[in-house]
Amino acid sequence: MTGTTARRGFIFTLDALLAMGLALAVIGLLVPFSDTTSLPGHDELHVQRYTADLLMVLQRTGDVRRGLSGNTSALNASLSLTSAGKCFSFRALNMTTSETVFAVNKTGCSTVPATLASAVSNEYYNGQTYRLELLGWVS
Amino acid sequence: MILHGSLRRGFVATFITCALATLIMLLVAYSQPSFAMRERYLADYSASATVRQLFDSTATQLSAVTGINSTFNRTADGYANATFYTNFLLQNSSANVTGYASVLSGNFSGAASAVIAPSFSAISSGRVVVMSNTTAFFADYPSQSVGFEPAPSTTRTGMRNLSIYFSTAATLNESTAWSYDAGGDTNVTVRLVHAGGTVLANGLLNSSTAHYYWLNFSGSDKVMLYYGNVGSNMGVFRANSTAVSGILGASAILPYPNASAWYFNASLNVTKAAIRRNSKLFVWEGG
Repeated sequence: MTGTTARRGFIFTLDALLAMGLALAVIGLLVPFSDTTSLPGHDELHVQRYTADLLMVLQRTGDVRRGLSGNTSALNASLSLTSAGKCFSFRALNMTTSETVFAVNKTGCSTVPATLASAVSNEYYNGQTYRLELLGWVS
Repeated sequence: MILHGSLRRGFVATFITCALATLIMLLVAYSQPSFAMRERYLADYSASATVRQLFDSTATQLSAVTGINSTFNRTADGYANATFYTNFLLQNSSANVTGYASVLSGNFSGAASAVIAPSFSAISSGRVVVMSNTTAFFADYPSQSVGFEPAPSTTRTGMRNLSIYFSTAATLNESTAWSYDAGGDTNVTVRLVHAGGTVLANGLLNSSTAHYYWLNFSGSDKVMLYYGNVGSNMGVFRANSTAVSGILGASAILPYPNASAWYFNASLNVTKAAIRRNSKLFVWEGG
């Protein structure tokens, strides 16, 4: 009886060790799934999408066309409504010569950093096609 | 001996369970995308969104190039309301369409870091068409004609309501209205705003018989509105002007499934990074 009890105890201990090993393995395997850190470049991608969406909005609302006609106040107003902490710089260029027709910066966003998001589109206005560029960055 | 055998079987069962569980966890872990793959996915998604915006933007610009403005909305009772406005007399937009296509495939392709290949030939020969499943809006420069006709492969526009709006600085001398049909299948409204006032007419018309509405202005200048059949095509609407300038609007209410998407008879082929899309240019995709 004593021998059997000891052997049973040994197997129970081995079982417990295996269970502990399994638990550790499960924890080790689950740790990568609980990743909460930001992906490298995630913020930049967010600004990139924000910038592309904003350029589309500026075109759809007619702000760009008003700017091409010489009135940039609507563009200024729209840029000022964007999220705090985000900066934008808009330019309309002659498609063939790449000369800037007009440019508008969001107020307080004069310093353009090296790393930024950009979106490009085009606008047909008065028989001419203009190239539109919107740069975006986190201030 | 019986107890000893049970313990051994228990140990083997536990061991096999542990091994299987570990194997399953390892398979799950290795089947998860890596950070690099997730970044690649996000980057591809970004290119995909950019291409989609390029299609939307080009369709919008094409409206400006061709001078055809449109608005759409879905009604609560299962219909879609499609409204088109254009200048009368029509300007020939063919050269502008061709020029815009060359800008897209040339300078703008480089600026957008994409390969853009427009196919605008169908709308650069004097006739621009924006179509849905069953109905097409056309602006035909050679015949100075604007209106609705059945889309290719159909013979009926299927309009429940048709509203025609014409605004001009000219003065209407006289008009000859069409005769309404008591059992007509289309509710047609004509609203004319001219220098001398406003004319409003409304009634039912049959889409399978011819109806003419004449608007006579100074001299021999005329605007003709037509609704009915053209050959085997039913529910055709045309507005023709000899020399009267103004703005013409045409609004059609159609069953939503027949008009849930409207697109130019023109397509765009765009390749950007790993994303490639070749489709018609939609001005409305339901909503």
